Amino acid sequence: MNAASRFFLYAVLALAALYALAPLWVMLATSFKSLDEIREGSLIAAPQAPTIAAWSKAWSGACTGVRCEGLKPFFINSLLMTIPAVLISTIIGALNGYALTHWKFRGSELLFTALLLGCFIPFQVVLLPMARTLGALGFVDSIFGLIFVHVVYGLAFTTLFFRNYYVGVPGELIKAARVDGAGFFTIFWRILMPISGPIFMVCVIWQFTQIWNDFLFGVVFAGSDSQPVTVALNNLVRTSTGVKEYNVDMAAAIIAALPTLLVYIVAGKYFVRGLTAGAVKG
Amino acid sequence: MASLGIHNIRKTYGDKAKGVEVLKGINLDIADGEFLILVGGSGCGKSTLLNMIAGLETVTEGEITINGKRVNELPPKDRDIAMVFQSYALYPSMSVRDNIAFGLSLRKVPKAEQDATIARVAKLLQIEALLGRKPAQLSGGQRQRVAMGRALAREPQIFLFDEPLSNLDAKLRVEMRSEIKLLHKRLGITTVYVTHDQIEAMTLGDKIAVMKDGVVQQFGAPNEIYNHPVNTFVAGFMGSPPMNLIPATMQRRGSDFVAVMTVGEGAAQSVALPVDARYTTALSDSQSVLVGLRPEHITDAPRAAAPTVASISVPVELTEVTGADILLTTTLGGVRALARLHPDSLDAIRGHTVSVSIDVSRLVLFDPATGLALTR
Ligand SMILES: Nc1ncnc2c1ncn2[C@@H]1O[C@H](COP(=O)(O)OP(=O)(O)OP(=O)(O)O)[C@@H](O)[C@H]1O
Ligand SMILES: [Mg+2]
Repeated sequence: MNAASRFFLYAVLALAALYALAPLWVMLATSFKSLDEIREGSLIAAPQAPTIAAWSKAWSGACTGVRCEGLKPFFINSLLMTIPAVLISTIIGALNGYALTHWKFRGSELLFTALLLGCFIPFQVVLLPMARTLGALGFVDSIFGLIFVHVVYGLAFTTLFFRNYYVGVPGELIKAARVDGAGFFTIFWRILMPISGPIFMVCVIWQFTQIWNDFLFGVVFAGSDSQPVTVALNNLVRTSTGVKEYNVDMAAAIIAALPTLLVYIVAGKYFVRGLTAGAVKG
Repeated sequence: MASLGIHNIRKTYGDKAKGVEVLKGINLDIADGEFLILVGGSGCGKSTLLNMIAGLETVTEGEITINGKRVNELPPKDRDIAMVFQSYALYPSMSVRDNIAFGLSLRKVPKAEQDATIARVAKLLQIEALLGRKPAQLSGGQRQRVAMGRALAREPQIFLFDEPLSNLDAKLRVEMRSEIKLLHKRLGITTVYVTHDQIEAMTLGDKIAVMKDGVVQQFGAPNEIYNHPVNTFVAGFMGSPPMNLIPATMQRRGSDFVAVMTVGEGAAQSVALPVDARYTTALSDSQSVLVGLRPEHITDAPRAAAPTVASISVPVELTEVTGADILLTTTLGGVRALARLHPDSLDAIRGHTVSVSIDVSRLVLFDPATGLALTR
């Protein structure tokens, strides 16, 4: 590649990056400005007198409907919902994938096909049946209910991920362990788990972003005390007492997006690696 | 210590009605402490049979017994079997040491005893320096030895080996073969051993079962299989190079028969080999047969000590010096035939023809239509 085309290539890439990052910059800049500065200055200018007042209000003072405690309680709700839901759906998905590939039973292929179908069911379709199910289980308006919904809905994906990964594990590996005297769970923990790192990361990232960013289930199934941060953000932006506080809105939006951003930064490289990795060599 | 019985075993993968039948009624009985060799072409069902003995594949039909007790429904861990898999199947996340220790610790062997066992098999298999490594850091032959070590660490009722030496270099292979033989002598553990190696088959086995397309063709002692193959498949499968199968015609000479075959291309000359009297009842005049003759029974003067020889002169088409022998290619009965000559004969066979001696007492006859051996 010659210098000119290389330059052109980098120019295009830089432009694309700028395009993608510009909104983030506007949000960041705005969140550190005072309302006066927003009114007078330009949208993309850096803050003249940076202040974290908007951040602190978004975190603990802004009104989300009738409550005025900021995003903090809802952020905690989201954590309490997301972490267990991610872990439970990932572990069950791993067990499913393991059973579907290495402990085949009559109808296991059919079951897998049915599970796959679950990946394509739109959220809206399950709202009503799920509401009734939650009612029957007594999980209405609680974080448990949300965890349950996300685990059930996520299973289709996590099972698919793990099944496709474990298909690559040679059957003789499992056979060798069985001859050595290991049972279903021993093989899972001692043989498969240690080589599941890459796909585990894929599942965790995928599930975390899905569940953390979910709005619909949060709006429908959460009670006022168990709302996740996405719903609270919506309420915060829509609750205005007189003047619209763009800086607070921006800070709140960034707070709500921060965990998924963090997960991507910390574990993003494993995502690609895990999706492309074969299971084992040797 | 265990005897092993395999009775009318059938195996169909997948749906019983639609699937392909891989094993079609296998019958084998192995006494306590016996060493059974399984040989047969690729895909004939050897690994499948081992898997069924281990309890890793379901039995479609028939019965497997250990010590006379039916084990069809017994899970693998309760059969007390150790197995070396064709693909090694080493646990990728564990070190070599842990690979070997895995089965021991699951069976609650005390730690000190585990260490002693690991040291013993590591020494036996020359893998002491590799104990800390992961399987991905090993060569094919090293992996194979670790797989072997995992099995040999235990003293099970039955050993199952699926081509355990296939990936070793020639020297190691010979060493390991002797180790296996010694170990079997010392421990006397019943063993089923799959191999494609003729020498392993002949030297290790108390019994050999030759399989083809899911059917046992012949089951017997190595000598029996080698000298009296029941059909042309077994004759062609065992031995390296395999038995010559030469088309010939029977002719009555008084009360006896001779097998008449052409010599060389163009069929200008022919030769008549006397056939042992034990065949007489099974033969008729001008019947077509296939004469089975091993290359070492077509040899030259220095080797032909037996009294039952017929001397013939054959054209030389190709000679291959292997070191211990000269393999001579000629044409008998219109097909390629191999003779095994003494290496010192090289000068003598520079010409176009060479005189060879045939040990007619070793000749076996097959029906060309069915491939079955004629009654002996
Ligand atoms: N899980 C399976 N499902 C369907 N068919 C199978 C399965 N495993 C093996 N087969 C088929 O069964 C036949 C016997 O296979 P097997 O592995 O027992 O052969 P083998 O004698 O061990 O051959 P090789 O010497 O190449 O190892 C083959 O035709 C193979 O394709
Ligand atoms: Mg095999």
